[in-house]
Amino acid sequence: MLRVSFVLLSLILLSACYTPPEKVRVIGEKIVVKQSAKGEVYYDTLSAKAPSFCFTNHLGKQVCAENLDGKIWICDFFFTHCPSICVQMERNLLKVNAAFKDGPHIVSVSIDPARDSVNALLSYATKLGVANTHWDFLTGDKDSIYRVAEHFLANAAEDPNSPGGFIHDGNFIVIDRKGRIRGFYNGTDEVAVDKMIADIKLLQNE
Amino acid sequence: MSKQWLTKLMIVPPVLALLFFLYMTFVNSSYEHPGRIIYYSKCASCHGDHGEGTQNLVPPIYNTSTLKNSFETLPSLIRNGLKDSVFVEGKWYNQPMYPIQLSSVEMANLLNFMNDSFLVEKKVDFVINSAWVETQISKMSK
Repeated sequence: MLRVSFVLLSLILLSACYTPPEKVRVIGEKIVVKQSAKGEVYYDTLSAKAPSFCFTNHLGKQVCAENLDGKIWICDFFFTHCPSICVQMERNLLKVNAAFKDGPHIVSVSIDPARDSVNALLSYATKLGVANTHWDFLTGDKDSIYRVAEHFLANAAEDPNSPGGFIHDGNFIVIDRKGRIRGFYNGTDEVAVDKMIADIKLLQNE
Repeated sequence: MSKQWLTKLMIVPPVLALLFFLYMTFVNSSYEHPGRIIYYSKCASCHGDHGEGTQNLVPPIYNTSTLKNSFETLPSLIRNGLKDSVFVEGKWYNQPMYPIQLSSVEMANLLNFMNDSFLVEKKVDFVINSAWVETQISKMSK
C-alpha cells in the first residue's frame, strides 16, 4: 500500500513538471457567419479580423490590408511631428527589426495626414534608415485612418492640449498570417516589446 | 585521509565564501550617480542609453562639441523644449524636443551626470547646484 501511494504521489509530482506548449491568444469577439458548401447551408464561427484599408506609403505606393495577408505584421500609429513617445516607439521597432532576420512587416500609420505627406514620411523613414525595408509609413484619408485606429482599439485623436496636437497611446498591434489580431503591446515599454518579439517567434512557427 | 586535509576542507570553503560575500557587498554598494536615474527616465528613450542618439532622427549627446559649447544653454533648452533644427557633429536634426519637466535640483543632478559621464574632457570643474541652473535659465530668458 505504501509503495502504491508512493508511486501515485511521485506521478502527481511529476505531472507538475509538464508545461503546456506556449500559445498566443486570438483577440476579438468571434463572429458567426452563414456559409454554404455543396448546397448545404451551415453556420461557422470565425475570429475577428483586422480592418481593411488602402493607404499610401512613403514611396507613394498603395498598401492595402489585403496585400499583408499571409504575412505577420505589426501596426502602430504615430506622426512625424510627434514630440513625445513616437521616437521611443520607433527605437523599439528598430530593435524588433534587429531581432529578426526576415522580420515581420511593420506598418506605421500617421494620424496627422494633413502634415504627413508622402515626402514628409519618406524623409522620416530615411532619417530612421529604414526607407527600403519591409517597413511602411502610411498616410491617407484622415477619417479612414481614424476609423482603422478605432477598429484596432487604438486611442488616436486631435487634441490641442497635448504635445504636438494629437493624442495616441503608443501601442503595437500584432496581426497574424490570417489577418487575426494576436496582441497589443505597449510600444514604450521594453519588457512589453521583448514579450512581443517572443510572441511573434511563436506565431512564425504556427 | 590525513587530518591536515580535513582541516583544509573546513577552512578553505568558508574563507572563500566570506571573500565572495565581501566582494558582492563592495560591488553592490558602488556609487550610482543621481543624475543617471533622471537621464534614463527622461532622456534615454530618444537619445539612447549611452547618449548615442537615434539614427538621423535624434542627435547624439555623448562627447559632442554641441554639448560642450552650449552647456550653459542646456537648462533653458531642457525646460522649454526645442522646435528649431539643430546642427550636431556635421548633421542637421529637425525632430522637435518636448519640454522636460524637471525641478532645478533634478536639472542640476542631470547636468552633473552629463558633465561627468558624457564628456571625455569635463566642461565645468565645479558641482552644479540648483542656483546655477536658475541663473542660466534667467540669463537665457532675457
